[in-house]
Amino acid sequence: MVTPTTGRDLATVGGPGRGPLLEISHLSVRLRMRSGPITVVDDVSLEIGSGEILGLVGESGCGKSMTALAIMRLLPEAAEIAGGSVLLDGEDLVRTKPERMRQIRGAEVAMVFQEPMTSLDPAFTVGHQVVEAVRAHEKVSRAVSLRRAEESFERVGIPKPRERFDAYPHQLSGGLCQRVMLAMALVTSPRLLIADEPTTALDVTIQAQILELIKQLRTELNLSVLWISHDFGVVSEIADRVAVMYAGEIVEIGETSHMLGAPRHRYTRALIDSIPGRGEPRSLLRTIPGQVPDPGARPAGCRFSPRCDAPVSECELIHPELRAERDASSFRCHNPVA
Amino acid sequence: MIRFVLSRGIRAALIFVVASVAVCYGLRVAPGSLADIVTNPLNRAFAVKDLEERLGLDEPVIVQYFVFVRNIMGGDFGVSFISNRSVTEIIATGGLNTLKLGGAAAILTYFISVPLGIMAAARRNSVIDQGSMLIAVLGMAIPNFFLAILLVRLFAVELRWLPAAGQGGIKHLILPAVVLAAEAIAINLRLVRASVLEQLSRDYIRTLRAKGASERRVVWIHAFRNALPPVITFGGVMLRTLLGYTLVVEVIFRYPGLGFELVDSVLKRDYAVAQALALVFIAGVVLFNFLADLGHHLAEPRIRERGAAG
Repeated sequence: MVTPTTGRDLATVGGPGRGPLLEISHLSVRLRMRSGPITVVDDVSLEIGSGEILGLVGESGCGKSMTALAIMRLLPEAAEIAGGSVLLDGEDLVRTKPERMRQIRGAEVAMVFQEPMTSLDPAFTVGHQVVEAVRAHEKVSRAVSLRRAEESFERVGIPKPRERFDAYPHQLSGGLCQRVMLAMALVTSPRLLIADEPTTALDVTIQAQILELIKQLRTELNLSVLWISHDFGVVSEIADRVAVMYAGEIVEIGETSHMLGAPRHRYTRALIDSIPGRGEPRSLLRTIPGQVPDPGARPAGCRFSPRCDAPVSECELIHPELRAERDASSFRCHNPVA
Repeated sequence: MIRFVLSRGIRAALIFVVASVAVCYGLRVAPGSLADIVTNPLNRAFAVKDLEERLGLDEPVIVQYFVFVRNIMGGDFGVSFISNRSVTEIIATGGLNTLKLGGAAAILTYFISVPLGIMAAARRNSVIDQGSMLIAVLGMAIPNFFLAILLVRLFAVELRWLPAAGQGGIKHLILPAVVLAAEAIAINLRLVRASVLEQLSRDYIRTLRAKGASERRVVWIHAFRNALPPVITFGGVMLRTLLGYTLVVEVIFRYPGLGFELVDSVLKRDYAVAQALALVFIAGVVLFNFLADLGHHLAEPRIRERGAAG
């Protein structure tokens, strides 16, 4: 029996608010392939409280982006939601009608992406694109939407907003484009922001600025954030709680500080150990040997077992269930780190 | 921008010089002469010589060329040796007719291929998509002179809905315009579809959907706007091709436009008319190429900027 992951006491973990804003239960996403369907997101359950930042970490291809796109119902054509539910304030996004979903996108759940330069329409000015986000949801005059866009630009720290309005994306730097993306996402005051590797394409100083900005906006707007990254280092700086994904499933979830200090799953520990600068000084960068198994050829037992540094006999045979701990964390391992 | 126009202008002038030589020389080295056609076969030898002297056709080609250039510079295109109409008048009336026919064909092309191409891309593999691709294949596979025969047979001979040939009102324009546009519709349809499809796979489309833009906005405004540059560039090629096809289509439908006049004057070795009309066609081609470049320039913000800077 799968314990419905994180448990009820999460709301308190998540900070102020009534209950979880977003409640994902047993979400599965399938990819239709010629050789048959492949499950890329496998029975994922997550909760995000209001004003909480949840980090979702994992290597490329572990299903974290697919999870995000499934929440938005923006999966690529070949992918489909195979089961589960995504409750936003009690409304199931998996079953909602397309037009209602369009209203939710942007207005209630906004998203920013990894590549800020290609994620903006090259043929329209950035001002136009932000104004368009307002007018997709509210019937307001051009002047009002312009003022809102200007406020949003100021909020994300774009100096001289009016002057930037008429710029095309290619005239701005990557960091500035990502701020425009954020301004566009926040202009409609959504309650949840999904950030899919928003700093990966940016250099480190810009990355730090964006992280600060997100934290600040969370406090100012009581924004909930799902922060997706392959970089545990980045996530540990921003997230209240972290969910670690491996080969399509959650392998560990818990409070960030707690997990950093005492990871239980061996994959989590390996990820934390590979954060540069955390090991002994001047030691070699730690890496995890091997690769994420192909979704079509996952091991029958624990999916991490072929790469694990301490497998026991069950690991190869029995797929471990997610075990809930008393402190509202849970993990999926036969031989956890003590 | 000024530099852009200027460089194209110089290039166009060069093309004109080369083309005028080719036209003038080419017509005269072709076997047969105006004199053979207009003179009485019984006392031909004397008459031909007399006529050639009068018209200056006995001069070396190079002398004739410079006479031609001097006259053109002075705005004098000459007179038809055969009908005695002034060439300027032939260009004006024929040009107006060709403009009507070509305009109708261009309007037909865009009004059919653009919306259909966008719909086909937005609903890939739907009935609309497959139907429009069938139209595209047929339009490209059937040669226009053959299509003309089929359509005349059906709509003029069998159904008697439309006139088979000649010039008149809108009714006379329909068949030639459809025949003239058929290939352009087919190619443009595929181009619009492919270009919109490519745009629909871009990252920014996902961003638009993520901010809640309606599907109609995503496809018809954003994807289409970004799909435009190749369509505009092809527009120049297309207009140029349409102009070329008027030579065939106007003759088939006996439609008195520039194409018809050019073919007629070449066959009759009516040098003054043929030379002038050939230059008009070349001017058309140069103009359409320029418009295509200009359109491409304006449609793409990045190129526009580079042009402004450089």
